[in-house]
Amino acid sequence: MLDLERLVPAHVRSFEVYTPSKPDQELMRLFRVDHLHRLNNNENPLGPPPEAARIIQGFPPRLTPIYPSGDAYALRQILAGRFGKSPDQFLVGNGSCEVISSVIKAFCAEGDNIVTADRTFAVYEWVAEFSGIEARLTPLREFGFDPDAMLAARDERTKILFVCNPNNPTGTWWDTPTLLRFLDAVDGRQIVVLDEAYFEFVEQAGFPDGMKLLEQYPNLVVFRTFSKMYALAALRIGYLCSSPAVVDIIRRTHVVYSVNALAQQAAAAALEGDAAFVAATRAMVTAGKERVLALCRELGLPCQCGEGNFVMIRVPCSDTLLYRKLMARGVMIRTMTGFRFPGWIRVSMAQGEVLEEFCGAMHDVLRA
Amino acid sequence: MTDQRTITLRLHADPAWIPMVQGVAEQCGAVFGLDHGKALRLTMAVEEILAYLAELTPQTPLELNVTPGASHVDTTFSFAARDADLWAMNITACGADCAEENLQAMGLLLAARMSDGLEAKRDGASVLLRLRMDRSYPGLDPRRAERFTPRGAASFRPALDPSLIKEACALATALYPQSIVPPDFRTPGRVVDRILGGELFGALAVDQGGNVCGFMTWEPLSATSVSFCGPYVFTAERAAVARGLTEHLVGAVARTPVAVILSRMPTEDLPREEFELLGTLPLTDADGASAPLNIWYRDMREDNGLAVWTHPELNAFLHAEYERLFLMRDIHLVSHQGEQVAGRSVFATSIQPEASQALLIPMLDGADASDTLRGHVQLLASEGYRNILVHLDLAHGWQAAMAPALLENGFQPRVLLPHAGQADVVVLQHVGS
Ligand SMILES: Cc1ncc(COP(=O)(O)O)c(C=O)c1O
Repeated sequence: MLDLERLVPAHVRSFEVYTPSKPDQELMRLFRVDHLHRLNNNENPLGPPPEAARIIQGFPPRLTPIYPSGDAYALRQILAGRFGKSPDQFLVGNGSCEVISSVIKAFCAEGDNIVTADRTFAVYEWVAEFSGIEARLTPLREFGFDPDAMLAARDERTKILFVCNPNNPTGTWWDTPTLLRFLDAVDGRQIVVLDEAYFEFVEQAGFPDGMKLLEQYPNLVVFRTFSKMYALAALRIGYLCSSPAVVDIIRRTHVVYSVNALAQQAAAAALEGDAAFVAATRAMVTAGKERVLALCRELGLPCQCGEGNFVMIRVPCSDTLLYRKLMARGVMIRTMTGFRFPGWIRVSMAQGEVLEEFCGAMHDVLRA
Repeated sequence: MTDQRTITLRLHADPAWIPMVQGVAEQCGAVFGLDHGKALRLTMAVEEILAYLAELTPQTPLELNVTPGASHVDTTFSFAARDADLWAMNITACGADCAEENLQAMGLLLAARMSDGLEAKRDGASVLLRLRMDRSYPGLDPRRAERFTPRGAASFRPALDPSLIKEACALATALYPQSIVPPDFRTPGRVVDRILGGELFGALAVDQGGNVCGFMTWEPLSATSVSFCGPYVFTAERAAVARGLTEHLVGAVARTPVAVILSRMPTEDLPREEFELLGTLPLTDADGASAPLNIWYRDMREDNGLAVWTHPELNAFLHAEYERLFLMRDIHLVSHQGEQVAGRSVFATSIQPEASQALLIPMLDGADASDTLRGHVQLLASEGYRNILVHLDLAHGWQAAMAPALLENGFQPRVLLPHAGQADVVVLQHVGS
């Protein structure tokens, strides 16, 4: 007889299964709508960049019987050239989510812990907990990561500090002096992960570029992804960059061949002459934020708008109820209850006409 | 739910073992901290249950577990039963030759009367009867309190400090009507034991001077839901403290398997804009006074729809509720269409004496569902239970199909609880009980 009680470790038994949203067709049928705008995952609706689109369209079927490069050889060469690093400083994963898991596996054993914020991207906390590693969560301060609280939360079993810069979902960020002070205080005693998933959206002059700090801080690990700005979320590809010694360790716990050939080629192409695409996306995000901020003024709703392609809005009702009402109008947003911001929603920026529809739906629903 | 201190006995449903079971109950009661009176009641309750099972499923192998809880002792009887034997779980079940006035057949009810709670559950072929016997705690000295101005802003933290928890219980009892303060708050030692024992969870608001400004408690209702009491606010300015406590609760259960939070005893301080009102149960308290209960809820995640079953007779109610609550459901109709329904129907009864409440949960469909329900209502009403409720889990077509039997017997649909079971649950209440 199958004895799951005995087979399953306690930390897995108590873990919540993440339930991804249903396919669009199924949602449209349930909510009885003929279209659905996804403003819930911080995707880039302008994408993919033209060079990547060309690769995707032209991918020859004869290549599918052949395994991809197991360690994204060509892509790492391109990344190295672009950032002035050596290729062995990069580790490419099936989305940056996969490299989160590789880093935790590489450095944490039973009894160790990681430190991050309570209201940030959930996957750091999740991967730690289902691996049986304690996640110490420090409260945000004025919507931002609190460096002192994170430093104070450490003990001798702390292995990794996860900082999301800019933070999803609040858009807050540490400037260069704050980050340097933090890295100096850590002084190499822990690994510091700087998740820069939204780096390419940032236009602020004082925003630190983690890639430029790697020589000075060999314990620093920078995450980037092709899912956000480069609009390749469907292909699942992201990467980390760190000092060769640290990457050599993480590589040991990283699954090779986890990134498919099309994703590798499309990612490499996405970086080719990407300036115009990035500029167009940034313009869309800037205009989108202006529109959403105007909506918040019209409706008298507090909002939290920082860097990244998303805005948080405080709504005068349960966010989960608002979700259902907006879905019935073909607009999908992200509720923030699961991010420990009950009563808030997060909206991803999109083209003007889409956001116009979102604003109209908000008016209808909140005025009703 | 066994822990290392559990005492286990394997035996058969045979009256010959009554003295042994009584001995175990008495000894365990004493070792696990029940006072003499409670240990004696436990002894009598287990006697009733064993005698009852011996009559109804003679010689069935049984397992008896006695487990100390944080503030109580749990006694469970578990056994495997074929569908055909399950009818014994009906509190109205009777041996072939037992008359209705035969007290032996009321063994479960008698056991319920002697205990602080009786619960019946079925999981596949295994059936579990759980008796709860609470430890005795000294009651709170009545005191008067007035809302005060806090020193500085309140901060919010998990309730772990015993002296702060006891102070919070006393203030909540002094400042709120009895009907919306859990009876446990009047024995604060029990609240401390339950919180430190991990059975109950709490959030406290504390000002800069260390004064308790507010309190809220919650506990698991099912694997994916929690129910809460409060928020109780002790300061003159109430909204910010209430909001902070509620946010603390949401933060504590976010990113856990909890999908919904439901109110058990909501106060007027609950930030209503953050919740949805599911409905009001017109309950009556043990003294016969009207005690309507609002049920508020909030989803912890995006609700992307479900498939549910309903009988045509409940369809109008469900449609109206789903529409009002903006919940998307694929509603499938189910009804008896002349097919043979085998066997006898079975309902599990869970009883909360202090709330004068009995909850029936269908365990098995049967052609005699209407008669079985009538019997249950008669018996529970004659025992003085003022609130008789039924839960139907709409994940199961056969439960939904029981609607006509319920309506025939004076039950009315009152409230829809989203995701409270395997799917949504409809609460029906007996009118005039
Ligand atoms: C901060 C942050 N890091 C990482 C990711 C995951 O990205 P990927 O698609 O590369 O796994 C996301 C996606 O939402 C994110 O918001």
